[in-house]
Amino acid sequence: MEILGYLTLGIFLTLMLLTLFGYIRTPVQTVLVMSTILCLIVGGIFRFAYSGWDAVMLLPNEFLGGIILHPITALLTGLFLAGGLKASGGFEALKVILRYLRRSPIGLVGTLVILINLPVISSLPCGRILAAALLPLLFTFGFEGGLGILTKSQLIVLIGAFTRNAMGSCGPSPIGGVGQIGEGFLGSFFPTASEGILRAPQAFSLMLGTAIVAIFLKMISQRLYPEDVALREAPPSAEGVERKEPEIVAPLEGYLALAIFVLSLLTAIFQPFGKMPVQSVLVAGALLMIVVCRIRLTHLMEGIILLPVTAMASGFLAAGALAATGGFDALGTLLNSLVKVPFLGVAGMLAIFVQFQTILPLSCARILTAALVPVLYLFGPAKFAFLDWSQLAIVMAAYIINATTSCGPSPLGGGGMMGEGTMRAETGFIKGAYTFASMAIMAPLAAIYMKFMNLKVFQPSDPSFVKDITTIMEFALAVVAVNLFLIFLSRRVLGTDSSRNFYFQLIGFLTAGALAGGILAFALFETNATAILQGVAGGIVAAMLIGLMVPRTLSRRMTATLSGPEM
Amino acid sequence: MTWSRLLRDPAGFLWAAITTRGVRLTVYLLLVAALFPSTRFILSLALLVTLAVMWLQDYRRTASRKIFYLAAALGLIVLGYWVARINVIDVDRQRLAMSPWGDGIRLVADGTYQGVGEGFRGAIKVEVHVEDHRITAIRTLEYPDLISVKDNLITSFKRELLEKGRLEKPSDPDMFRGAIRTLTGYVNAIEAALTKGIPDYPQYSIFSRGLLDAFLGKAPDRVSLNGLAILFAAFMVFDYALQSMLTPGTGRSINCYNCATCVGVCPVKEAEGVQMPMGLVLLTRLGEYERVTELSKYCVGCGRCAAKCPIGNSGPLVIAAAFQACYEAKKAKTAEEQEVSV
Repeated sequence: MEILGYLTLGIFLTLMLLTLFGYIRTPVQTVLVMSTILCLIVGGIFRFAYSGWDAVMLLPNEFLGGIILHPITALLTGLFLAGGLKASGGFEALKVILRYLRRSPIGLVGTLVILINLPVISSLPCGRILAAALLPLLFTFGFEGGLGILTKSQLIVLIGAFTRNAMGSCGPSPIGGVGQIGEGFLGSFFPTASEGILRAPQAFSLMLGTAIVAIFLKMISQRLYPEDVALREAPPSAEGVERKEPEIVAPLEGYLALAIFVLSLLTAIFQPFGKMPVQSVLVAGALLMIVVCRIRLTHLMEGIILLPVTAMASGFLAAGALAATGGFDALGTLLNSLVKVPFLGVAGMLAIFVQFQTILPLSCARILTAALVPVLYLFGPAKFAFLDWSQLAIVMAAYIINATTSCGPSPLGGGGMMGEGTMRAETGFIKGAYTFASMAIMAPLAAIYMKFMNLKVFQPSDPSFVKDITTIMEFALAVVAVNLFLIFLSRRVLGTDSSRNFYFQLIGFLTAGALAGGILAFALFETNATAILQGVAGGIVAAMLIGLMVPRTLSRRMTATLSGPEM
Repeated sequence: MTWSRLLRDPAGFLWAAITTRGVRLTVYLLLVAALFPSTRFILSLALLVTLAVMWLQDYRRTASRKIFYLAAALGLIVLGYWVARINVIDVDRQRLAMSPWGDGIRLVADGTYQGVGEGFRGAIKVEVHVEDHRITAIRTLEYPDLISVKDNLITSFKRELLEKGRLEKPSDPDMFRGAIRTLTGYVNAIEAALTKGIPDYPQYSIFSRGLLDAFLGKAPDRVSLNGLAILFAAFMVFDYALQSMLTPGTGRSINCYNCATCVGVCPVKEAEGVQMPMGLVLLTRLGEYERVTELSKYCVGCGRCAAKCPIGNSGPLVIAAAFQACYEAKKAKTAEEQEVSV
């Protein structure tokens, strides 16, 4: 029966890769459902042959067990609330607040920094909610948008960094975020894991990662693809001309809706009225908006973004089918065999595993997270025992931030495409910046944060854990400094030859990947030199796979995505 | 949509009903109310308030009399409730005199009876054997609370009950009826079983049971509230997806990634606060075809969006489909008005 697991795993991975490379040109959810059906058919045939009809009859229950309803419904209700906020003018109210901020001592730059980090501050269950509402506002800062405050280059950085921050903010969200899937599994050991064991590491690394993305976009992406952003620069005649800022007026309902929105979020997070499901709180908030802000049911529906909802549901189905047919066991065994490769070992295998979703970026992180978190869980004391519980939490932190940010660079309708659409760029423009930050900054920093801070917070009874913010800052500075050096160095050597640029960029990726793998191994095995070297090797392998996926030129790739591979 | 069409053109009536969001919502509401009694009161209230708001607006606009019919129906329900309440109070008083608690066991005829009580996780079902006006055996048939409540409470309660041979307040104050929902449910199940052995045990009238069951059901609790929230969310997304699938030409909009690639290449980009053409695609999902036709004047029909969209959506095609949908709706409305005037 082991062969069944390999078969279904093969079906799943083949379909995913074919979709990613444009050979299957249907929405990824359809492919996932197709994969589920195929896995179940193959599983049914095998079971019938080996164990008879009764075993086949058990299959539906086993695969339906893979569906976790909570994040799906929490996400949905979060989207309703956002829909209500939009319809009642809540985002207009937010814009007014931002305008006051701009006029305050923190000025334009301070306001933009807050604006860029607004997604992680609000941590909604899908980054698209805030991106859809605020990207048009960001566009207005440019010449074409009317305000003309920022140049084309600055606007690219602003939009790119904001979208990066948004497409990762679903990770730390306590109301149906992707991180909750991992927290659920860690709850087997850490009693309070569901209260946010993965939240702070993700938020911390996301903020620093966003900053690196901004620099990467400025220094590298704009040099690599100078002709691929159709935004217009202000003509010389318009320079220096003072433009009148259009007055933003928010209705009273908008402020009320914003207040209801914030209160609902706070109630859902802090549960001041006793334990109650997030969905109930958010639906109550949405219904309150209907009554107080005089909006309609249709307005709540307007907030729905089907992609993440259906992606999550179909991802759970595919994961359930894989679990029922032994696909995860097969994956576990395959990864186990990677451990036996001398230059990789456990550390190297994990360094590759945590980057898996950036290697294979799908339109919503939930698809693969639902499938791979159970595999990661098996590396812990539950099955393979490569890791103890605290090490599992460290790897989980690195993996989840890498996973949640993977929808950013996805060419399959990932959230990053919203940013590319707004900055009028070809698909793939942001890919290098986003994957680099996920791999080189976010994953290692999340691991470090978990090791030196969160383990102590979530298991205070264990004296072996340290709570050391200085160490975290030292690591953060070192990681950021090395990566900044790489970015500055790359900037100096980049020229007009795209092939040459590509190889320089790849070298940068490999160096950063090695550093990320080494730091992850250090977080897990401390000063074990062999493990660190193995982590470096794993990091290089992962970085190679990620770096090779960054497009050399954009237009050709876009054509391939739209019309299939060249014959 | 007139009722006379049901007889004349049942298939057309059914299709019109399916494609109307209000009808779908009402059917869904009734289905949920039928399946989950603990949600009935909330749903009845929601339906009543919604109808009242809608029909009051209708009255202000067109002096429609529907609001008066609703008020009359509400009056009848309130009247019926008071009739039922009087019956319930009367029966409860009679039941007090025939309670199977304590000495009341002498009223219970020998035999084996089954009863159901509501526990924390669902219905608890027991079978009680009575012999010589003593409880001699209790069998637990269904006990979904086993995984969440320490079973020793129930075990010791059962042992005590069998020692005394009758239903009495347990000696341990922690086990007093009502201390926890599981024990309450268990005691209620035994009581319900014993009452079946009492000849001429007073019963509520069919009217009272029917009315209270239809509009009140069971008392809502946190579990049913959460269930309702989840069902509400599930319906909303289902209906949201269904709308575009039921309207010819808009089915592809269900695949929209919200990626805004089309916005990037559109020469218009934004009109009246709507991102073009992505906003048009999303509006068709909501069934807002009128709004799409209003916004269509901004579309230059260049088709760049169709060339760039990763899943092949096209602004001009969506606009064409919305015009078609508006035309069909207008045609149906005209036919309906003609029918009414005839």
